Amino acid sequence: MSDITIAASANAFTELFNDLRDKFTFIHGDSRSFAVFTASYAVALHLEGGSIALNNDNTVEVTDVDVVWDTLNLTVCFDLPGWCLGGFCIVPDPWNGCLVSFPGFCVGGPICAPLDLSGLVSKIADVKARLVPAYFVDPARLPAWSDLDAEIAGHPNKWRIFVDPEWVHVDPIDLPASLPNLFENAVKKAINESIPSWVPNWAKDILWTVLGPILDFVAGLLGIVGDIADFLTGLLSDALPGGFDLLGLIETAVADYFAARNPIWEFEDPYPLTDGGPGMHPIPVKIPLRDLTALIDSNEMVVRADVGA
Amino acid sequence: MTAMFDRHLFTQIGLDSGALTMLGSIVHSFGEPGEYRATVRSGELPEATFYISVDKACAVAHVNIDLAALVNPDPDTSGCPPTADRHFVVHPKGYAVFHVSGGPGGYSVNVRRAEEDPELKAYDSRRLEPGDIFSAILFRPGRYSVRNLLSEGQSQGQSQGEASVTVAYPVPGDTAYRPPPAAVADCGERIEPGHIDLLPMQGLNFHLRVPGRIRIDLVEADDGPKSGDSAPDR
Repeated sequence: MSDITIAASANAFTELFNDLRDKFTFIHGDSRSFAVFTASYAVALHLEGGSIALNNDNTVEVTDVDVVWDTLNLTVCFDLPGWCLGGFCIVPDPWNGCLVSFPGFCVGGPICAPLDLSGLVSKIADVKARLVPAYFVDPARLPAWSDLDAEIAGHPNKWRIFVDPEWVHVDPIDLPASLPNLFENAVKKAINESIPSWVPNWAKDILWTVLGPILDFVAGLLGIVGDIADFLTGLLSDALPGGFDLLGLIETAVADYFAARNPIWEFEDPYPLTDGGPGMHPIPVKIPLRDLTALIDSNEMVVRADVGA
Repeated sequence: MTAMFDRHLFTQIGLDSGALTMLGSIVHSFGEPGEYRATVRSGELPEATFYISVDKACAVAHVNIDLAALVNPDPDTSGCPPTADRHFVVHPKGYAVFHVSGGPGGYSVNVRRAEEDPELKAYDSRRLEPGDIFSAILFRPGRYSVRNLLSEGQSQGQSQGEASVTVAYPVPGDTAYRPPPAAVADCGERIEPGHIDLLPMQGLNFHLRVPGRIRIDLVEADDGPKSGDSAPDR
């Protein structure tokens, strides 16, 4: 039988978890080069909502947590070869098509089409986790310190209880149906901004005529087979080779956040029974804890430990 | 970020075969094997020198000679005088294509046999020879006049040595626009056909049957169905 038993009701556990959830933030960015374009993203997100169920099989299950994308910016950059002059034939070759062509030159240059998808909300559909206690030795604690020295210095050892997910499943980002239009407008805007202001309107009209429907143009330029929306979704996920796999990153970040970085609860070790002071006990009374376990059933979280060095 | 647009593509509307810009090029076949020494000229002043070997043993059917690059070569940090990029080789039945890749242009070419034989006539691109081709691309939509300046004074009327060209205003379509093959005009005693309709960015090749200097001038600009700003959402 354990020497110490501490319990937290399901409601208390939910409060603890919600507090932990609310402190979760994820900020990340990356860029990659593909064959004919580069892409980069910047994301910042936090978690909201969700339902918590404590199970009798010693697991906790969290469902329908909202992933709120405070920032979700995707930028696709490529060279605009839009306006290549020349290539028309001057002297035809009866056998090979053309013997002499008008020496061509291209106008254009690199453009970047930024897509701002901030404000989207997706879901962590399911997190199933167990409680895992871990002993934490404060790295700032000096070897010569006693437990009292460590507490006074603010670096005591601790028992920590983590919510260790067995799995985290994040639903695919539900990108808006208007995504192709958003991308088309972003490309148009980028092209417009890349054209110097002195270029006359008739020349701009020639450019747009040569480029044709922008999505077709971009699809041809970037070698996109199929739908633009699928391409962008694939870029954010791992569906496209070399894609950013944002869902995987989030799943990893969530799992790491709960399982290794942020305990749902922690106890100092030795555990302080009294703080100490000028009364009966001038120095704190602390008892060492060992063999700490944390279990869950449908009613509560129960932490048990033995007393002893 | 600003794309690379050469201002001269859109500000030099007219063309003159005797003062080449980015919008025109001259195709010339030397015919006679030999070594040729050539100068790029801006007006009467030589700006750069280059060499052409017209060699039967060379299978090169055409050689592009960028006059702008000859006048303004890339900075050479080797300290050696530039030679390799100033020597061109072409087959006697092949073609030298004189063109301007950038900048204001206004160049002509004068080519002499290296033997400096005064009996041998120089080739001066300000006076195109029969067999030459002047190739032009007219960006600016509108109506143009085309004249062979060397036929003026010989002509009996305005129709001789003069033609007109109309360049259509671009209309965005359901697919990306690609210009059709270049139109062809014969420049003999007359320029035939007398009127040429071009689609946007369609080339125009003048085949010289008589000595000539082709000049193309914008007569009336076509600013399209709207005269305001170019719609940014197209």
